[in-house]
Amino acid sequence: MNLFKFCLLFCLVANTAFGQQISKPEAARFLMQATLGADYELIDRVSQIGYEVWLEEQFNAAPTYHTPRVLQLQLTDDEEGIEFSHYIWSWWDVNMKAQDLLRQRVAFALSEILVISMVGVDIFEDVPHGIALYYDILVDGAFDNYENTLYRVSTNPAMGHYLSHARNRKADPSVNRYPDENYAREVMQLFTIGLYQLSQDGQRQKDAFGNDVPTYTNADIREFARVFTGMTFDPRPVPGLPDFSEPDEVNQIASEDDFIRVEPVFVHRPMFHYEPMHDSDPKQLLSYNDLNGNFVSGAISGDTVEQDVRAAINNLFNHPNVGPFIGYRLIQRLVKSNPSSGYINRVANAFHDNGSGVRGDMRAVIRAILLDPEARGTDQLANNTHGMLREPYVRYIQFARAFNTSVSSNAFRNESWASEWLKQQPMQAPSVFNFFLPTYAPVGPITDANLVAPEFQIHTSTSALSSINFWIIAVYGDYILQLDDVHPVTAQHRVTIDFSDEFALAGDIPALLDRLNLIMCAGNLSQQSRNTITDALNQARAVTSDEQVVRLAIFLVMNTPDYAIQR
Amino acid sequence: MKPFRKSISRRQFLGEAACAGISATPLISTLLNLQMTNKAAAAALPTVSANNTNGYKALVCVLLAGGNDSFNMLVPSGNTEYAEYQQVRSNLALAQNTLHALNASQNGKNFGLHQGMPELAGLFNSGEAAFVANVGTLVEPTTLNAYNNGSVRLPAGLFSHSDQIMHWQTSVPDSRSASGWGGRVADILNSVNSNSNISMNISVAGTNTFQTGANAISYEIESGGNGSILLGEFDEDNETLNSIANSTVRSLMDAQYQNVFQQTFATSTKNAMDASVEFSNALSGITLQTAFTKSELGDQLQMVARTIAARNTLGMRRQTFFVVMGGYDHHSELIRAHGAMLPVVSKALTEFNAAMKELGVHNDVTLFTASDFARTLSSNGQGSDHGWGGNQLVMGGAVKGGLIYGTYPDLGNGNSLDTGRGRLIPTLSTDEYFAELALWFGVSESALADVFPNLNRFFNIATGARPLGFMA
Repeated sequence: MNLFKFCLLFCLVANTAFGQQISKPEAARFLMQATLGADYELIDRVSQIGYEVWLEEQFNAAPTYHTPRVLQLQLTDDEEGIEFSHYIWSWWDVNMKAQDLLRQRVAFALSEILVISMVGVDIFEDVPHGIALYYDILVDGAFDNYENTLYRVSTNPAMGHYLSHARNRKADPSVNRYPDENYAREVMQLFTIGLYQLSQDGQRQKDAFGNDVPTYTNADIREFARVFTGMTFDPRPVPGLPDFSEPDEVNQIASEDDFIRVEPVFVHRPMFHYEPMHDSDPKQLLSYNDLNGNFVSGAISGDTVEQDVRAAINNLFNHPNVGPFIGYRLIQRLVKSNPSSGYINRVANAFHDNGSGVRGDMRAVIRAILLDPEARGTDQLANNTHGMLREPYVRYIQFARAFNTSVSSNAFRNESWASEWLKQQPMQAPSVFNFFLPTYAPVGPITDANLVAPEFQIHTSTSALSSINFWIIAVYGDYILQLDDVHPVTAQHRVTIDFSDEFALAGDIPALLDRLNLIMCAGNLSQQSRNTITDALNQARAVTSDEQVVRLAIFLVMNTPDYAIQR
Repeated sequence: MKPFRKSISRRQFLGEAACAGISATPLISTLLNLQMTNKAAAAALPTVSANNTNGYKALVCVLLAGGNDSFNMLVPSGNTEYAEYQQVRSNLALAQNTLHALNASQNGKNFGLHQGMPELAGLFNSGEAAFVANVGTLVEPTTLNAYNNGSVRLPAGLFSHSDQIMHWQTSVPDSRSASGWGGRVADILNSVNSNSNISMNISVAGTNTFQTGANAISYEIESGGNGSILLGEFDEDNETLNSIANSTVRSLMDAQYQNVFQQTFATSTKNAMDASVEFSNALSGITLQTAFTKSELGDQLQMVARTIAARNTLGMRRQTFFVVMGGYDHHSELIRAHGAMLPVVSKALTEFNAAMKELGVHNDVTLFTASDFARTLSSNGQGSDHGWGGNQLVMGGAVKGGLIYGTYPDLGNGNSLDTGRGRLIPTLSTDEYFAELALWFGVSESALADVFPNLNRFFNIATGARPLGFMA
């Protein structure tokens, strides 16, 4: 190590120790986990103000909601049949411009845990504001208390339609009819406690025979199914939102017939509570000892829809599993696929107590996830099992935000069918089980080491190559829109990416790669990859323009495993 | 209410991509171009004839994902058993006079097929398809009494989608980390194939557990174009620059990485590159006379049929295929939505059967269905909830068709298999169902225990009999 490098390293360590300035690669690495895209200026700024100041800024930044954007598109773009694209574009436009970067990053993570999807649900393509209204719960939920988010999610009509507890009636044994168990099951299996009893460090508890201990039985599901009865779509219009009501259709809920006939287009209000269809008898929710050492009996007397749903959500929310269960999933979305039990434990502790005795404070959870030594420590870069495959759509938006983009309409649009290339698009998971399972492990060294790598579930023999083809188009900026062959690009919607800072470095390949390494790979481009790319660029200079050399450099960096794998 | 505006249908991705940079035309290095030329020549040779099927066999798994309500697919139709069905299913019961009669009876019961499946009823009645009744995930033989008093081991995550769909693919429901049984079969049989780039396990529906063994992995293809995706042109006007771009991507994937995620990313991408041109060339020019009705399932099965047509070019003597039709989780809209999906199955499977005859491999290809579970017999008002045992279909020239294998259960409330709401305990295990298929496929009796470690809890292979007897 030469003296210069030694000094550099020493200075970095010293600054980090004081909790103020951090290196640009460290800032870039932090922002890769905490945002859906950072450019050079942001990396530079965070390196000067440090993690804490930036986090405080972000916690206080005004939320950007998606619903106004999608309504604006619906009002101004009256082309038939493109409501589907309206949602894609509103998500993209918000995320191309938003300054509440942390909130939007966490909202996207939550959308992969509290999943609803437009796939297979025709009506959602017709009411994109319903998807946006749901997503805005997650925008709030990013920094809200998780219990409140769960309540809002559980009473949201889009979720009610997706997991079919809207229009759910109390039992009528005379016709062999019992409440729908769908939401009751998934709210436990996927949104709160999971299938097995966990310790706070995320490890499964075992019974005397070494078996996993289930968190609930089917009898429990039947009890919770009784809770989620009596809610249906609310047809009363809301000023400023599309009005789907018609004189000859159900426009109020005043009978069982109204309750089951009202159409699921009415996604703009929380579900209507119609008490005659609610099972108000006593119910036995989960019984357990909570983390404060109190026995929770789970017996409730049974009351209105609101009281029962709140009681059920509270019953699940206080279950000791929620912290490690949700914490593990959020770590997987933001930082790494295989957090240590210690890391899960620290995040679960933050979930249970934000420092002021409050359970479920998402700000405390996010802070614990992002500031943990396992997320921040540069020692992890030498850990061969550390990291995660960046989600393909995250790569897409992070690329677009890494450079300076502009569009004359000031309304970004993008490829509506990116999922055909990337196997991923927001709010288009194939099922409530998301795009990939938290437990997926590809054959090879990951399985051999008993690790998981969820995102590899959608890295297939075809998407491995179609995503490369997609990055080619991405580096040509203009084509990000031109791909959408249903909506030919007009001048006002043409997006240009300003690579001028990079073009200026075309004659200095080491400097060019330094810059790309920082903004794309957070400094993790290996010397081996760097050498390979340098050779290619030197060859390319002989046969093409400086601009093409720069585009090639960006394209090749995007295809390095150093870039694809977030470490 | 305003009529819903028709949303634009998803554009077919393969074959229609027209703009620069994503051309489906291969290019890459001179070496690969040369390979393409040779393979293109090979593909032009006749690969299909009626007498060169010796030694070829394929298993096609059609997963009806979400939990097919298969007691509304295969329905008891005689007056007595129908009355029981109608009573238990209440507002979910199909009308007796809409069912397509099947020429099979069992224990005095008659059966009909959903009104949307006339083609499959015809195939069944002509002996080309069979049903396997009340089959499901079991750790060991299970009675209602043992279920109720907790004296029997049950599948992990019973009634949960993610677990049951996994167990159906592994057939080891007491484990949550088992490999797929198709993968374990491939671990044994893969060596009979001459192709080192392309797995004998081909999926038209993405990565899956079924085809993942200790070593075996799936090769994933799309249902459009020629199946694989080819690396695009970096700059369509500059062949040298293209060559630099592509060979550099190749070098990046050829390199060794210490980090397991990086290495996995590089290896999987490299494998995809190795296979894509070869696969595409093998399929180019292959068309079928048999027309497939347009649907996601039909498109997938048509691609399977075209891949089977290219089996000699690809050097394949044993293949498994994985096909998925999703959307069966009918907690709501059961009558309408299920009623719209079963006709798709009926048409696609029947057309696939015709395509196998066209290719002269009707006796060599067996298609079978799988699904998470059947559903509660009782209604939730709008649909049905997660159940357990259900009915599956097998199809092909080697199937002893026209029969229902296993015992179609009594459906009435409080019957001896009912764990509540009409969630029926399976009377056949997936082990018995799949072992029958694996034996036909070429797994030896002695290797069967390696593929199905729990089989001996249900069936003694040493007797020389077949588990169910539905394969010739």
